[in-house]
This record gives sequence, structure tokens and C-alpha cells, in this order.
Amino acid sequence: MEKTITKSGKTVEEAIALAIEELGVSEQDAVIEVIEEGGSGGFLGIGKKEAVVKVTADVDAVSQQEDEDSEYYGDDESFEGDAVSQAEEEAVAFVAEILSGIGIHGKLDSYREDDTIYISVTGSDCGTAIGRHGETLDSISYLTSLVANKYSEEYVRISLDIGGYKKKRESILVGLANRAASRVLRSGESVEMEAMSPSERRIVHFALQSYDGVSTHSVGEEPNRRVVVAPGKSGDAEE
Amino acid sequence: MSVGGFAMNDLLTTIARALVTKPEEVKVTQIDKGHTVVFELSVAPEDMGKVIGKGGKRAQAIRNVMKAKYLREGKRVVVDIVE
Repeated sequence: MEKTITKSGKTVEEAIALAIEELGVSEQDAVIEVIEEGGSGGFLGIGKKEAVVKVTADVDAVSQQEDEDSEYYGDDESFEGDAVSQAEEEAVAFVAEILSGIGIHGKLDSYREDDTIYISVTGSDCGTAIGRHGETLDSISYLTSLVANKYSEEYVRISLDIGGYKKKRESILVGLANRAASRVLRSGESVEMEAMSPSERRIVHFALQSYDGVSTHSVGEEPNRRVVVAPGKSGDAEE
Repeated sequence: MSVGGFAMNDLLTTIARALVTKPEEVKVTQIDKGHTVVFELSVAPEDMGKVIGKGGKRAQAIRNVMKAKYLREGKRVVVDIVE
């Protein structure tokens, strides 16, 4: 049964703490929506606003999960589970800890497809966790993949998106790639794109893979490695 | 939820513990120097590589995350990995 309550407090943290205590769930199991950030208010503290949060949690699912957990702790030896799902659990828990450590509250969703664990974070005030040019996001993503792979024999890839940044960035990159390709077709000369991270270059290579009349490859050293779009028949993307 | 001073270096401890093989040997001390916060991270000798990484890649990622946290308070962060 899903339950939603609204709580207020002096700070967002305090309001969340009150709400999850009342619901009897942990912060990780709750969907937290910050309605009012609160703040010091106006001059001389007049009009000081309280922080207000809305917290939703599936109360039944939580108690069920607690049961599973206690089973696990009580019978350690026989617990094997699925290595990849354990990696997913650890990865999600790690991301949640980092975000709350930075001071961001949001909602985490994850799913696994083949060797990739997709984690997406939505919430207000995600900018801090994204950083300039997605630098912080990349770092969190990298650390998370280290943690996930500690718990998995096979290599698992982490695809972390925060506040839809990656998705937005991807469509920008695809647009840039197509523009570069049409410039190459018009001029007959190669076009060098701006420096990108490996995952961003992969998006560009992939976008132009089936683009007729151009091929792509990369030049330069990290972190200045760039994709070059060259005239020629559409070939395999080289990395 | 953490209380008092511990909450401050919580994040660094969390990250370091998640990476090493001996989490119980992770120690973090924090020194406030005005607008700069200095953290000293120490781990078991055999875990040094786990927090530094090839070419300091892991250490850089840890620093980036810590930087993000303190940017909100307008503070600079230094993370030193000590033996």
C-alpha cells in the first residue's frame, strides 16, 4: 500500500527525517519531493519559510524487504543470489549515499539490460551533482562502476543520468554530429569536432555510423581526444 | 542520519570504504582552514591503489565529488591521501 504524507520542518533534512520516521521507512525506499526549500526568509528573518516535503513510500513493500534482509543476514552461507543484481543493488545504494552526502534529495530509478545497469536520478537541485560539462556526473558514474564491479565477476557497465543531463547532452551531440557530417559533404573536407569524453565520442561515432558519405575516427590524447568526421563512404566507427 | 561533526566527512568515508578491501582501516580527518577544507584520508597500505587508481584517476574522481559538495558552501576542498 502506498502512503503519501507531507511534512514541514526548519530544513529540508529535518522535514524528510520527520516524514520517513512517521512512515516507518528508510530514506532510500521513499520518494521524496521537495515542495518548499525553506530558507532564511526576508530581512531580519521576517517571513522565514519552513521547508516542506512530500514523501511517498510503499509501506507494505518495505516491510517485505526487511523480511528478506533479515533472512539474508540470518543465513549468510546459503545466500547466493544473482551476482549482477547484487551489483545493481550496491551501485544504487552507493549513488544514493553520494547524493545525500552532497546534499541532494531526489528519486532513483534503476534497471538492468544485458551488461549495463541504468540508474537515473530525478530531483530538484541536481546541478551540483552534474557539475561543469558533466564533470561531477562522470566522476560519480566512474566511482559507481568501480563499486558495482567489486560485486560482479563479469564486467558491468554503469550508465548514470542525473536530472536528464545525459539524455539532453546526447541529443545535442547527435545534432552536432549531423551538422558536422553535412558540412563534410558540402565542402569535401574533414571536420574536427570539439574534445569529448570517451562516452560522448561513442555517441558521435554511433550517430554517424550509417550516415552515407562520411566516416569517423578519433585523434589526439585524452582529455583532448576529438572525433574527426572525414569524407568517404560510411564505414565502421573507429575508436 | 549522521550527527554533528561526523556528518562533515561522512561522504569521503563512504566513498573510500566502498572502494577498499579493508573498510575498517579507512580513517578521515578534517581540518578547516577558513575557506578551505582539508581532508586527510588514510587507508590500509595495500588499499592505497584502490583510492588513488591508475594515474590518480580514482583520487581525481573522489576530489571532484568532494568539490561538488563544498562548492555549495563556497568552500575549496583539498583531499590528501596520507600513508
